[in-house]
Amino acid sequence: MRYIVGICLSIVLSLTATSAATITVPSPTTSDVFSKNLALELSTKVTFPGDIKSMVKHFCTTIMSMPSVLSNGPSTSAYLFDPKQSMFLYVLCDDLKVSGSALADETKYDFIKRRTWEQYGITIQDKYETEGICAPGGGLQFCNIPQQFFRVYNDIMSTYIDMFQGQIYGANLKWDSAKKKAEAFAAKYLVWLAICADGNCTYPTTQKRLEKYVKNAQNLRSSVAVIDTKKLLDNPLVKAWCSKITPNSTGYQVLHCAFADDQATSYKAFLNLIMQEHFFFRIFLTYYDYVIQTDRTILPDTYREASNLSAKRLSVSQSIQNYIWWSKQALWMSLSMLQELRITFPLHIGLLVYYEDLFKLRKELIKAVTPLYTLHDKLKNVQKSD
Amino acid sequence: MSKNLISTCIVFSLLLGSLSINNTFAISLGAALDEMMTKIEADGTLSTVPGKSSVSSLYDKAMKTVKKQTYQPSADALSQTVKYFRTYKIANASNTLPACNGISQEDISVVLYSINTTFRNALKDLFEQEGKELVIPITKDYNKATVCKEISACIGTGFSTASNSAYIQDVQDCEEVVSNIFQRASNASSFFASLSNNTYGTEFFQNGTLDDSDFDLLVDIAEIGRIMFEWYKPPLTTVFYGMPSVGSLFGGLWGLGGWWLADFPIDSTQSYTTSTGLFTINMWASSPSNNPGISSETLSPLGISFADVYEDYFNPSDPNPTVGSSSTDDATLDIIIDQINGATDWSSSSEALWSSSVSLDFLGNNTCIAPYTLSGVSTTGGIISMWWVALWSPDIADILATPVPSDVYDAISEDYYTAISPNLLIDTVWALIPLALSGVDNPTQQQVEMAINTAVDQAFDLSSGPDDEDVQSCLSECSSLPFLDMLVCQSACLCSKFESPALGNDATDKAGVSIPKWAFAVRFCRVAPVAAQMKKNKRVYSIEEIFTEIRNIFTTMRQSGQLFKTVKTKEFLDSWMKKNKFGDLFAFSIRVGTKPSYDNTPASVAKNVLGSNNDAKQKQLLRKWGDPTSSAEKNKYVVTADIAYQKALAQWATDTTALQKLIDKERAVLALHSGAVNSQMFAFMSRDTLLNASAINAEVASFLDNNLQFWIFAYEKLLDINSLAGGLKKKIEKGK
Repeated sequence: MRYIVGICLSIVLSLTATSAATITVPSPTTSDVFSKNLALELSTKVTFPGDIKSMVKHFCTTIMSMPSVLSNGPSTSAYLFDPKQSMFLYVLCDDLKVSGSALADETKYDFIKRRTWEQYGITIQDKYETEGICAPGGGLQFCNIPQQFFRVYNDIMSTYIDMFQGQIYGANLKWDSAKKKAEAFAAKYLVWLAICADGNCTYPTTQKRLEKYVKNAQNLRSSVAVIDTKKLLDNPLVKAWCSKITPNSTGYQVLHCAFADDQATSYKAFLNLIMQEHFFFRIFLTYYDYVIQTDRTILPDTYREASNLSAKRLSVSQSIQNYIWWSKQALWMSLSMLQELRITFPLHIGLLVYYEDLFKLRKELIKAVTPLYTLHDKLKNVQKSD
Repeated sequence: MSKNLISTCIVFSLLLGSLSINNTFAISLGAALDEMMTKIEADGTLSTVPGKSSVSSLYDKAMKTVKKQTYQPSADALSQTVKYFRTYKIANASNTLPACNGISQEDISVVLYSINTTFRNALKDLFEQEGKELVIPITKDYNKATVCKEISACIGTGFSTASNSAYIQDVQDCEEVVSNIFQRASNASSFFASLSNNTYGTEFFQNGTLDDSDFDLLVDIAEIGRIMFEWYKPPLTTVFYGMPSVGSLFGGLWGLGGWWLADFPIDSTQSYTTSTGLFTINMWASSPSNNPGISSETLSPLGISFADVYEDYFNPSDPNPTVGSSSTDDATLDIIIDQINGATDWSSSSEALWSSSVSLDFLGNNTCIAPYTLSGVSTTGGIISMWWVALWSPDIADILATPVPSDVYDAISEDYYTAISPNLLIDTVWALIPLALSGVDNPTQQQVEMAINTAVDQAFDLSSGPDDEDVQSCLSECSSLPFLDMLVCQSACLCSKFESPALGNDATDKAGVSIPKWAFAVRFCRVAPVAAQMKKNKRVYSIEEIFTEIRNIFTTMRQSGQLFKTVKTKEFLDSWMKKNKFGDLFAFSIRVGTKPSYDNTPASVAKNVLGSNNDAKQKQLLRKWGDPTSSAEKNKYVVTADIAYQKALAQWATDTTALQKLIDKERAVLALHSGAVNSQMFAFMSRDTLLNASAINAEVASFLDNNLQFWIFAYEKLLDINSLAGGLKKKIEKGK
């Protein structure tokens, strides 16, 4: 029976992964060791009688013991999915004393701002029977672990995407002034216009606007929830580990390389980073949903009556499906907007330059045309003296 | 067990059930839904940096949007369901039962919660997502039986929909009916939401608004247009709102549907044909002194249905009723409002209700401005346009069916007749037109227009319109209102109505039915002479359009006399010119100097020239154009949709298979060089990005190209001016 259940889970997870590939979320479908191993573990594992943390811990132990996986093709052209490098899994598992995550090394990953459940405002009781956070009204929906870790996931994704968004605006990680970054941006995208050179700006208004964009983008980056951008910059490993972009199964650092300084070469690394987090978040939700739906012992005694059970399970499952759907849609939408931003922002600055040019021209024309009109009006009625 | 007994049992059990629900959540369900949607909308996670050049978090925006999309259909559907019941009386004229004005959102929520899974799940999810208790006190003790009794009282046995023909005889029927209506509304709302889902997020920065992004390319382009060509102060303009089609309001000939159709997509399984599709609605605003009248916020451009208007205007439960005796400046409207207020039996006043709220614009163009202009009849100094207004009467269909007099028909060209024929159905005017045309053989369109103007002048007393001072006084009262309300207020000030004295007090139609005096009237609206000037933020796509706009401004100003105010104070010796700001007239001076010119170059030649110009420009911009291995060049202004494809096309291929091989090869080379990978995801995103970049760049390149042509033109003109000035200077120096 357990074996059959395991196969079913494997199918469920595979289907999830397959559908993910069609919605622009790459997953290690061809070598989905994660879902297979999780299914295998569950097929032999005893039940978790009401113990939520044990259930999550089992998930963590299993997935952290797995090797990283390269998706879709040879190692030179693949995305790396490494549970040990996932920020979501690190936050989920570290409080449960599950070792294995590379992010636990605070010398290499000193730039991580929040590491514990407490720092994320998460409080989870050991068992469902314990009321605690389950108020008001009781019920699984108020003890929903996915709900709490959905917030964690959002913080992580928001951090990553905000940081990349900042790069597009020209706010890289160097601690130069906004003015210098704006000049660098102009040199990169608008070199033929030469907005500013040697302190003399041809288009001062545009230059100020661009500086303000950069400054605000810097503020956005420095206010992200999960990463301390200053420490990230100071970390010597960021560049050292990312001399080449191609991921490999041994040394590739997903998080470091995503925010290496060069925007053009880190885009793929950035995609790798967010897809990895999304994948592990989804696989956790799928696992959680599966256990709730199949293991009666995880539920509190009050829900074990047949009359309540299916409704409560359905409620949790629906909520999990919501989280999956929202995270997927928000990710897709964010990437679309990032793409759009990457294309349109330089054009926007270019149009500001044009606008400034027109403004100056108009101003000069007023000076030139007004005397001409006046002269014309005066000469119009000149009469001969005789 | 009899059905009554069963019903009683159901009512009792549901009563208990509803009490249980209220106890569980300790709030009003409908209010909770509203509250939750507001919370999502006002989600504080959006970290916008205030001020210009702001940078908002894209992920936060995306997450908030997708969450809202999940629950918005339920919130909308709940609102629509309430509206449905409240306006049921209007949409079903034959219904003699009282109106369902007492049905509230909470009432519907109580019924829906127990029967409709969609609604229940949405509400429960919202509770859970927020993760905290909402404290909203119950202000009324609801229970399903009471609600159903109320619904049944006003729906009665007349309820019928395409998918549900059951009468409301017990709570079960009630649940079914309410759930059915909610589900239809929910499906419709979901359908509309899904339409935008596919493209949502891909056009934020180029959709012409700053509401959803920190910058926008189309706004930039509009700003560029504004700085060069919009030099004047915005004129006083009157805004006339486009209203939903009355045809949909009368869907099914007063049957069910009506406004329903105005809000929901057409159900392909039903036929909503109507014989009154000709009409469109127009709204009369109240006077500023009696504001609020019909709130501008309820008007159609904002996506609000007639049901909203009805709700705002005539909802008896409204603590601030907006109607009353003589509440407007419009005597006709006052009469109707008084009639409605005085009516206790809704069944006899329902049509009058339509009359007061809906005036039928026979021109069918939703605006106050007729397709022709009356000249010489102004008592106010401005250009007066007119529209014909006829108010709804029960016999209007008969009047419309009256044949057009053949002799007049013959005198008018077919096109013109088609354009204005609805107006001419008013017999009093018709009778006068032949007189005005008497003695004229084969009249021209101009003569016909003059004849019509004369006839209208004779048919309606135009001498009692408001004078300028009245209008200015009226307008001044509008200035302190919010923007949209101000526009509505201004439209009220600028329009006045003239009834037909020729119609008399005892007029009857051909069937002998009495026609009230107000049934036929002409509404004159003063339109500011400069109203045709370029609108703010108007997009201009070509040089030709720019000149057209300039020409329009010039023409309008010339016609209104604003351009020429030269006064000779002493003949031939001095003149006083209007104190124009020449700087402001810069764009104008171009118009004055040169008429719009059109290129006579054959299209094929022009296309080739444009193509070569573009190539040259691209090379100039990219410098290394043609070298696809330079990945850094992709971020420049011009890129191709598929570099590999373009490069493969430039090579020799014997057939499509060979071409495909070349394309594959080029793609492999590109991938190898740029470090791109063979991942489906990356390929997809790269392609998508390039396609999008190509489209955007094409737009911007086109815009810049047009601008370049304009500047070449402007440069030439400036050279002319320079040359003239130089010549003049020489002559002056020579004359010294």
